[in-house]
Amino acid sequence: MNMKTLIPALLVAVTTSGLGMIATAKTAEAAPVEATVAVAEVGKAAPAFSLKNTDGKKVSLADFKGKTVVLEWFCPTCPYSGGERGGDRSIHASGRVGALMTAMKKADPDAVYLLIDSSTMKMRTTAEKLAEQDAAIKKKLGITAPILIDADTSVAKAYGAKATPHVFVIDGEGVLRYQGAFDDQRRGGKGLGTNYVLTSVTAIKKGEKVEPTYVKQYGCGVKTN
Amino acid sequence: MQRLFNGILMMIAALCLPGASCIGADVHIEQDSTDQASEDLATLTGDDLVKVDLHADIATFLPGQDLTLAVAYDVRPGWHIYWRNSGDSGMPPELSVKAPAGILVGEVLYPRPEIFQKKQGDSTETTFGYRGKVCLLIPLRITESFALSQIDLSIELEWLVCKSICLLGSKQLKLSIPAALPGRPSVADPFGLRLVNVWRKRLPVPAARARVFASIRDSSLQVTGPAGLSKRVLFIPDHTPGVTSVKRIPVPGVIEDRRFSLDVPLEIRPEDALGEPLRVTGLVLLGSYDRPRAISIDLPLSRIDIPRDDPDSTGVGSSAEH
Repeated sequence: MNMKTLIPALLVAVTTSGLGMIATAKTAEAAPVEATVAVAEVGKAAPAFSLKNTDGKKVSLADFKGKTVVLEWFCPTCPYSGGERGGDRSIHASGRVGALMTAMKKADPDAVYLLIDSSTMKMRTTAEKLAEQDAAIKKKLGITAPILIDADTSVAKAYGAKATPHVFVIDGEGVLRYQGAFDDQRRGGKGLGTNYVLTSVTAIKKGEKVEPTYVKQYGCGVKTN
Repeated sequence: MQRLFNGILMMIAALCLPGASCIGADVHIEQDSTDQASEDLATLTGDDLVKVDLHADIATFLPGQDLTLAVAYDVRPGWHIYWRNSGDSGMPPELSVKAPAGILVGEVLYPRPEIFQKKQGDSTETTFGYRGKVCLLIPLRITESFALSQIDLSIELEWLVCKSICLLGSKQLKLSIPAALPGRPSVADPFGLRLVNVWRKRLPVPAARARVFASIRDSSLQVTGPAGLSKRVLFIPDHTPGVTSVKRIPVPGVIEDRRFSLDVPLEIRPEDALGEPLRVTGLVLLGSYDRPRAISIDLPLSRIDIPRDDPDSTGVGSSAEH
């Protein structure tokens, strides 16, 4: 085959296959991504972690052995989490986390509340800049709980954290007892409403069965890669 | 010659760009967006990203008549809003209709959604929603005794629109529909009617109408029915407290001899049902997003479907041809 016949043939082949690709993109169904079950499971040991807070101090799950630990996945801009523009939708700006802290102190004074921010990828920023931003929003919204920076998002992956807010309640023996929604006020509100964190912490303190163990979380997605 | 060859290579590269969205496909694998930098996220609001409009399928009304509202969302490319079950994260759009006494407002009807998937470490974030243009429909009934000369409707809308970040948007829309002239029939609104008809075709049909049979056996949802010319079948769940799929979402089924079968193993936890009756609800997706066929499944769980601690217990199963 000489060059004169090779080039048109090549063009036809490329154009045809290219058109086929466009057609495929328009009609073919993309294959669902294979997924594995998240590591953290209710009834099983919660994954260990060690992260720095906004002051640069290291905080580990192991530090709180014997105490109930609440983890809340946090994002400073998400309207359902720390985002001020969320108004009553934001569990922090609306004062719902503050109300929970007050109620939790009565239910179990030793219970620990930690926020984890895994939004470095989402916000295209560095751990240091995110810590600065979180420290500012912590002050502005009067958040008293430490905010831990999960810069490489490994803790979010280990827990299977899907949304901000997405909460996990771990008992004193390190067993995950509840995961999911913060409360039933997905459309916003100022009071406690039915708060699943409080329900879980209270049940654990009383030695009772935690019910519910899972309520579907709501809010912005957690981006881990 | 070299230039021609380079041109061919560039053409191949352009056609094979990674991250090209699967327009029309049910499962949209989300890629890291590269155009984010061009949008000023600090000043953007959800109102900038979604344009909304309100239409009705009639221009004038008669008492006793049914009508349908079409709430049109136009979402900026790269962003999406959510189905009534948003999935792993997100929030469905909120619609609150204010209508005068004598107007009965039905439930919001959601067209078949797309599936958005993002790889998240070892797991996958799966959400359901809409890109581009979508209409949610709201059926209304005008009672026979409705005596006003005009129906004044207002609707409060709120939506969460997401890409890598999420923003809230809201708007209030108003629509007034005058009564038909005395002795004259109701007049259709041509544009509104067209919108309603187009999006009604994308609504899921009840299982009975699609001759689909669903049952629960041994804590598994089993669905069978005609597949038509579809080569693929998927199941996506609705929001059902206390009932979750053990398998990854969407759950693929099998098509043989133009019939599909789906087997969806369920984890049934009455303690997570929040006091609601346990149900299995969701959509069977056939065809594609462009040529959609969706069948709604809604199956109550009976006591015998709920697994007990006794290992010898066997679920006989409830079944229903809807």
